[in-house]
Amino acid sequence: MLGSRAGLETTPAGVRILVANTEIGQGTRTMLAQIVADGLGIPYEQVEIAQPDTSVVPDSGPTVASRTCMVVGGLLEKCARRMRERIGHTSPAEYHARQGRLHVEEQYAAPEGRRWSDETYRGDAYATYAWGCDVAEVELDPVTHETRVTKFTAVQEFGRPIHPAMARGQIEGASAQGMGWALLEHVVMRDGQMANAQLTNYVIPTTLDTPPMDVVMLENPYAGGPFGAKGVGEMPIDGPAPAVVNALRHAGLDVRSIPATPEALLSTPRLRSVNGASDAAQEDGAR
Amino acid sequence: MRTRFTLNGEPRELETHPMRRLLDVLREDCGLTGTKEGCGEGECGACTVLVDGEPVVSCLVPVAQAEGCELLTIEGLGGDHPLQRSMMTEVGAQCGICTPGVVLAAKALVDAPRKPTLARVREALAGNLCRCTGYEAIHRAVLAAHAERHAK
Repeated sequence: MLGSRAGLETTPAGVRILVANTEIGQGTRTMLAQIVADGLGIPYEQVEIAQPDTSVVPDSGPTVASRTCMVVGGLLEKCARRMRERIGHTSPAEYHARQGRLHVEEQYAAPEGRRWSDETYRGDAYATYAWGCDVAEVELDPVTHETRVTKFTAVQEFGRPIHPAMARGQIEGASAQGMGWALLEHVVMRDGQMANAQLTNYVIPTTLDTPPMDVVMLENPYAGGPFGAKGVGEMPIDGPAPAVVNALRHAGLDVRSIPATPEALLSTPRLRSVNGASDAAQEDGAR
Repeated sequence: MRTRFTLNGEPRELETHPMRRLLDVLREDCGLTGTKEGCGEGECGACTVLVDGEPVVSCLVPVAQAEGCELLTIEGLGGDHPLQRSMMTEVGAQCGICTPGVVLAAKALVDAPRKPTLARVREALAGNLCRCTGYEAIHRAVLAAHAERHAK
């Protein structure tokens, strides 16, 4: 991982990014091309990305841990700046036509003071972390125990978003998944296999199950990331289920596991009467 | 059996088993792979196409039922429908598997003059599962497309 490399080469049309990271809909290609275009000061349209074929691209480390933007994007920002120094004020396409292909590559070096072993995979894998806070407003039917999230607020600090609309999509999508995990999605394992691996018996949220979401992206540029960015891919799925469970606990149910389906909630011990706020207020008043 | 229908405005006639899934006929016989198979059991809506203007899940429709009908697949929109553009600008697609079905399921709402409420958008898309977006960007895209389509 510490040996992660990323490359950039000139082409007749501009530049080509050489990284091993995979686009699976999260926007990696767009985001990396933006970093390179801005680093070189050229239009986005002049940046292409090689297919992540190991015969063509260097080992950039895995597409994991929301590291692609911060680590690989960071390497590409360095590549772009180095290429800019080499080619001066000509465009990469002009340089390519006159001088031939220019290839630059950067290798990841751990920030000072951070310890990590590639042999034992122990230490601090990453130099920094993103932060988040989720608020779930939940309605619970005291008879059927059906639970609905009526409003969800996600506040995330991941340095600076490279592409705010796509970053928002990462947060909204992960929040919906997290709420599905909290209330609906029950994996049944039988003999080492998932016994309900169909959408008929493994229910995920629809448009009618997801609440309106407020997304706040707090900007706090991180000096070690490209244009101040950290990573956002996975973090927003962590908070929603705890937020929903805490809301159910606030409503008086001693929820200890998810998914908190109506049938599970029916047999969940009470912290106090499920009739909610008025009882809680009385309890507080009595203290 | 010979089957005839209109596909994206063009008359089509083909020889096939009447019980084959419309989804397979569209993808394999007609070469229109924009229609995606998600679950194959009518739950997810990824394979939605319009049959005489109505959204149907093509994985549950035997091709015989399309006899004489007007079919519209995502290819028939030509990439220039306001909803296709707003799905890009609002980033309503991430992995993209649900996108053709979402666009066709929401097309009627966008084309109708009356501005849809958010609740109506949610209801119209309740049969189209999306795992990536949390639906918020899709809702924004539908409302933006309606505004563009009916801008004075």
